[in-house]
Amino acid sequence: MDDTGVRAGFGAYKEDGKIYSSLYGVAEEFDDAVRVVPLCGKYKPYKDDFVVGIVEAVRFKGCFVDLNSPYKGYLAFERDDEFKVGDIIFVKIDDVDEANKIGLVDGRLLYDGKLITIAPVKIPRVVGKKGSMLNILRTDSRCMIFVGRNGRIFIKGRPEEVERAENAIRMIEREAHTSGLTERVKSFLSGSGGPVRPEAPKEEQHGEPDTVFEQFGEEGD
Amino acid sequence: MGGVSNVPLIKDGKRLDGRKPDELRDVRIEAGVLERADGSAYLEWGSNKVLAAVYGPQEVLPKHLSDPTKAVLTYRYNMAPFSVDDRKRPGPDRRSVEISKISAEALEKVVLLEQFPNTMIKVFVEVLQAEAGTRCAALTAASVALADAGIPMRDLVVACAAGKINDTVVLDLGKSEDNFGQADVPIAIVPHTGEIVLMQMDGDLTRDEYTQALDLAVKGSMQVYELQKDALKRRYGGVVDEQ
Repeated sequence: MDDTGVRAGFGAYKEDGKIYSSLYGVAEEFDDAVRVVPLCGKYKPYKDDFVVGIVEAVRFKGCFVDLNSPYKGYLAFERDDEFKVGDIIFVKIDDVDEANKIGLVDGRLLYDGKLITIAPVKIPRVVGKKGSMLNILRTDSRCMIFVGRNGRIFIKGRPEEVERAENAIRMIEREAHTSGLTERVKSFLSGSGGPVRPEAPKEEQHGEPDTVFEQFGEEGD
Repeated sequence: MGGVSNVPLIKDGKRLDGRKPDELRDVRIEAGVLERADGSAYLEWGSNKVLAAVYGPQEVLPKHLSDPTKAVLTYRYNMAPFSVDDRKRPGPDRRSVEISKISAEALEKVVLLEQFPNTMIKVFVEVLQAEAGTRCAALTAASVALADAGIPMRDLVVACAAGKINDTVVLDLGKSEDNFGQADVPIAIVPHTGEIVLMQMDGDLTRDEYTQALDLAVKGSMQVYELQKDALKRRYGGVVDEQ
């Protein structure tokens, strides 16, 4: 915080009293801060995130878990041979140190379902405000859905319902940067559930082109 | 290059391809063209055609290269055997190793490497068709591909060349101008600070000509910078901010 009175939030940095974006994405302005919501990029682990991981290697008292991220996680077993290589687990990030070593905790085995991977930056859209979108997905598709912040989603249910939930999630991923999405997902899930239209109706594009964030452009001074 | 050539390259204030001395060739950029890469870009600059792909941040291989304080950036500039008139022997040679090294160093200045310690970011640029100025085209495409991969950067890097032909300082040399001209100065800049992150010079210029060439190349770069931003905006169409 300096004379500008504005803070550079996530994806932004400050130089010579000006705020610049360091990421390719959409800018959001608040009263005292500016942040950038990225349109793409890999998952970076943060403490207390819930993620879906795949067990990669088992050691004496724990296992290394692939998290769809540049960094592996380590989960200490609570009992002997809790998981084996290839297991899909729902797990919480307990700690990330400065060298990005990830400690995991509360591992839970996921089985009899389908694992799908989407772009990690789209996950907030799948979850929605206070889980609103996820609740719609869960109730309308009648599936159990585990959403990992790292872009992995595990869906469990009857095959045709799983497929419908997957199609809905793919639609969210494709249209994550548009508005009016919740309504479209609702009508999709309550509708025939046929193949998702490749192009959604364009009426939601009411924003001026100016709202496209100018990458690396000035965001304030 | 170097020395005075008797090949006429400028007639009536126009160059062989009809450009004015301070005019760029046509540049076209498209972001996100490859499905499998984390980020990619395709660029046409005159008859130059280059394809850039970015992978990462990912695990460092070979492992001993890993740096616990920042990410490692690798850059591979490669010319396709069919990119030039006489088939180029495939594989790295003295020239492409040099270009790869200086381009990697240019990108290291803008990528926020310290955000991803113990990882590796790989940049691959393939020159599919060459017509002078490929290192600039390659670097310009690579920085768009990096942004497309969602990698945090201080700014894009833009590269552009200026040079001297028939004792006149001109922007963005074409092939015959490169072969029969007197000097070629490729530069790469960080547009919002004006920092120069890459500069080379082939041939000779007086101090005045050098300043003139530098100004011209910076101006050219700024034009290309707009095209880079435009390519990234087009990638996701009309983005609407809902929250």
